[in-house]
Amino acid sequence: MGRYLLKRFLYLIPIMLGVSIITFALINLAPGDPAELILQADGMELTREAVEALREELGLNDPFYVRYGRWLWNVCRLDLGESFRTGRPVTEEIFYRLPATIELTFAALVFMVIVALPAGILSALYRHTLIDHLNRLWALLGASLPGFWLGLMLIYLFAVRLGLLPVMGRGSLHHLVLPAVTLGFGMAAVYTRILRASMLEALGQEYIRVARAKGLKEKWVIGRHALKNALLPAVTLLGMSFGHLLGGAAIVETIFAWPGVGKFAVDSIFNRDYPVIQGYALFMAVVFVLANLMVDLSYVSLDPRIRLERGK
Amino acid sequence: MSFVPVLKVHNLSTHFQTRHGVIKAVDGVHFMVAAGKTLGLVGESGCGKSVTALSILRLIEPPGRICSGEVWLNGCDLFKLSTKQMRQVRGREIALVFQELMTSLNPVLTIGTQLTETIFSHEDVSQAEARRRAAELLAMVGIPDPEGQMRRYPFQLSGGMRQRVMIAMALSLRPKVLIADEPTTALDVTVQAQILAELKRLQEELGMAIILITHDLGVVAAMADEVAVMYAGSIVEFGPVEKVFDYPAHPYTRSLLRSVPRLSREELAPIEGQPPTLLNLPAHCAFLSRCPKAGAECLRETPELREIGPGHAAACYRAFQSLPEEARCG
Repeated sequence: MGRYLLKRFLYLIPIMLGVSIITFALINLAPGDPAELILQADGMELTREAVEALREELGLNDPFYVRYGRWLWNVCRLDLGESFRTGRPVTEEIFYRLPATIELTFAALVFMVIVALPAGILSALYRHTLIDHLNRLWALLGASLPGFWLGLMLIYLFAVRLGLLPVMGRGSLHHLVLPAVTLGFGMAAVYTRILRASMLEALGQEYIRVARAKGLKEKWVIGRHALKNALLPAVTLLGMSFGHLLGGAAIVETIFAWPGVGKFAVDSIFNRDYPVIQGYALFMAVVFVLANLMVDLSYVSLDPRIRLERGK
Repeated sequence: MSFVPVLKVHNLSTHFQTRHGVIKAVDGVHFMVAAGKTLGLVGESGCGKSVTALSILRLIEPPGRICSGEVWLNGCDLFKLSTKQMRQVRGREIALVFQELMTSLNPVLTIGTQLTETIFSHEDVSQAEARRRAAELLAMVGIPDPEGQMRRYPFQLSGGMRQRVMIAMALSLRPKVLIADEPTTALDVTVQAQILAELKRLQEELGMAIILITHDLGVVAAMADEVAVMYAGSIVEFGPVEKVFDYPAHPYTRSLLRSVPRLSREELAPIEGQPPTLLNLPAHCAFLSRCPKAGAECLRETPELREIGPGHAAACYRAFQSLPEEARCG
């Protein structure tokens, strides 16, 4: 187990290198000069000399590989640089906003599981009935509605028309409802479909028939024999969806003015705040890989075949 | 015959509604089996043996449906029981051993869990008591180190071991009837012999009736007291095993016996043609197109199972003529 974990952590190195090179290259291809934007934001005059001086100061005039090498060297010393905009260390900025994003992502994940688990199971148990058809309809809707549209509709309905929930910002539990639903809705739909399919597959297995022939109670047959097998593919998706939700949080945070890392990253992209964008991408890659590692570990506890094979 | 049947199946029909029409998987089946006796249910693949077994336990799932019939267990009609009462019959009164060795055990639950849950679901016992009984059962079916095996998962056991576990599971509540659907088909010959001997021994010990479903006539000869030959969803011949094997009355039984490999014979005699599809069965004898002895009378309605000797019945218009004098009734 220790060796396995070490191997998985070593995989992080090439992944982080790849992610950082790609983001570094993409930012460079994007139009817009951070030096100009910074001077504009400070209300200074945009003279050629001033821009040039600032570019020199920020190290933007060096060739691509020099800048990347310098950045990488700093990263190795756990220094992600300073934000062009705020002047504060990127690490500090990210960790300051992280709790809000984690809170939102977890709320979305909880919403997703609460909705998708019963919906998927009921759909499979009552296949081709009204419940199943309704479930499939909403799963189709959920998978095809864009998050930003859904977010605006929810704000319009629940905040503006009905006045039940706040429009934006972070604070009480009430503030969390709309952003979490917006973020989790699409994944909940996909999750419902996956659970329905894996539950149907499990229910068609011979061991389910055996369990019934043994005279076990139906809730036991479904809850223990079918569900435990059906959860295996669903758990894989759960890890991937965590990453998906983190990424999606950037848009939802912007719509709801949620003070999280995602919104900060979007603002930084508009302002060409290179160190923040770099830092955010790298940070997300690490979180994504760790989330998947957690899933693999939970898989080990769910599926004895994997646990015991590995133990050999 | 002078026995009291523990299980009696009367006019059982199970049909499957499909897009192409109704498949009559089991069509008007009758048989009975007495305590301590074994009935062999034989026939080709797809002749309705397994569906018969599932129908007895009311485990048919849509699009299948039990259309008619009665199943009497010690004088109680199982088809009239509530779902809850039926659940108590399953496993406790009638147990089933399935043919799919590799998929019959749940891959993510330990052997111990799968054994004890059967006991728990029918009896109010403590965890320790259930585990002790489960270990006893494993020892009874010849599994070494039962305590250790109980902590293992199905994928860690060999095919023979798994089948022994399945049998132990079926016997955990000492059922009155055991239905074994191809219990040894997936096993190699030596393990097959061991399992059959084990079954026989346990039958004597527990006094249960066994319905042995198989397409292996050798297994039937070794194990069964009586045999029912199924063809296209119906029983075409029924009788004591020595009578049916020595004086087969139905042409299908005769063909089936001729197709068994023997050391004294070099070539096998296959049964020409294909079994009919169970969809839209003809109104006449289903074996007609493959029957070497068919005559004009066979084109009339489907022949009923008629007694042709002591305890021996066949569904063929010409059955009586094909029997020697000493095997006939009356």
